Amino acid sequence: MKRLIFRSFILMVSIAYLASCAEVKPWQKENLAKPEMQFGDQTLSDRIKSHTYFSKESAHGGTGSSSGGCGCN
Amino acid sequence: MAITKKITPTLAALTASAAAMPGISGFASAASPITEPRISISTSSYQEQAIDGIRTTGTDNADRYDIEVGQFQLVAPMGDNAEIDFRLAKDRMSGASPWFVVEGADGEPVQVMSGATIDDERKDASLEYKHFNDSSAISVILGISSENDYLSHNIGVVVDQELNNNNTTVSVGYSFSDDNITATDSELFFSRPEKENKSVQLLSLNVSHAVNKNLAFQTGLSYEVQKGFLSDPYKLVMVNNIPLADSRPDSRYALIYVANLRQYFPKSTAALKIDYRYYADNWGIDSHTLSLIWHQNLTNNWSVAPMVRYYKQNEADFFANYLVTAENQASIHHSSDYRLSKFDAVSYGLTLTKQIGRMGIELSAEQYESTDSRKPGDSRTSPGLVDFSLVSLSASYEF
Repeated sequence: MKRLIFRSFILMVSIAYLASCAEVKPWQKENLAKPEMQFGDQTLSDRIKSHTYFSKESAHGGTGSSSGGCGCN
Repeated sequence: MAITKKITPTLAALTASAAAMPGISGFASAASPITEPRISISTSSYQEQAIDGIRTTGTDNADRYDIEVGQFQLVAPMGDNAEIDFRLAKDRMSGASPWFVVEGADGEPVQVMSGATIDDERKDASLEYKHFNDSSAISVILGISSENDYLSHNIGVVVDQELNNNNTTVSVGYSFSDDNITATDSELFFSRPEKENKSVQLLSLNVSHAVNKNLAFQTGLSYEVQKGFLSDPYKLVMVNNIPLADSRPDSRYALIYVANLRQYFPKSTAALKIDYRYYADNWGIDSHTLSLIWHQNLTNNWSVAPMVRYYKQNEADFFANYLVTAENQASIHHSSDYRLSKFDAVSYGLTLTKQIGRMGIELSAEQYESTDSRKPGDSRTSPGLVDFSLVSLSASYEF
């Protein structure tokens, strides 16, 4: 797990470095702003999918939503 | 679509993620509040397929879970610099649930179901307030989830900071959940505790970046700590043919890493969405999840999005279908919960959307199939793995 933390940190630092190298101008971001280009759960159906995975699998997290509840059964 | 007040609206595309957790839902626009209220409603039907060759207790009805879900969402501006996101959900659950596992006549494990005795309802509500500054935003989320045997209160805070001329967003989130478990029929079953508690804390750091005008990338790391009663009060484990209560460690530490990519193809008016997640915890579970979605825009405001998702996990250290052991060597922790076993699953689905003026309609269907790759004598995989279908119909209206 320590190795994973280290690698993840290195990746994040790398992205931060890359971020300083490239720049997308505001008027070039039309496509990035489209709904299908967003990260994470966007719709109510996305949300219920994430909650279902949360209830049926051991791994969880990373989607931005799941809501509460025990997820039993 | 959100109209910017001070910051470019497109940074909404780069909002950092927070790991899935009650109290953190922050994926809405990091850059600017919405300008018009939006209402969404949704109904979903979840159905689990029956397992071949299962046993039940006292009833022939071995149908697994069916859940009907209704959801409501209101997103509205609050002045010029803030917005609220209010959500309600109600689930109606019924059916049979895996109870314990016994050794079959051929020596292979056989799942025993609870019988169709479960009939429950879950109500979930959350309210998020998000305040926007020049190049940052802060969200506070309160939530409650209630079932007849479970009550969860949660709170979360997410801070987004834009950097690099709004091409990079760094997001830090923290959430806390306090859950109370009051098992039903605890007076009838020795294995069910009358009242227990657990807490869940999550800390997450995410970075999103616009690589170029058609490519965005996001990566994140989350750390989750669960403390308290983490067992399933309704499941049993056969130890030397004696049913014992499901028993798990009272702490769980998990690390979650995500890497997500969005690539837009202007000539095809399509987007490729790739999401990867690695999960590891101190119960010995490692997991990989990869999902691919191709979002194709069509004429007349139609769009279609086929998806495929692959999930894989290994078993928890204390997972066992059943145990045969010397009396003084029985472990403290043991569980036959299929969700703690080794398995992989593939799901595939399709989402169809249509925009009619200010109204959007979405129909989504998914089939989830656990891969039954268990070899004879393999004790790491449960016979109770689940296959299910999920169909949702949603509508939203922006005023």
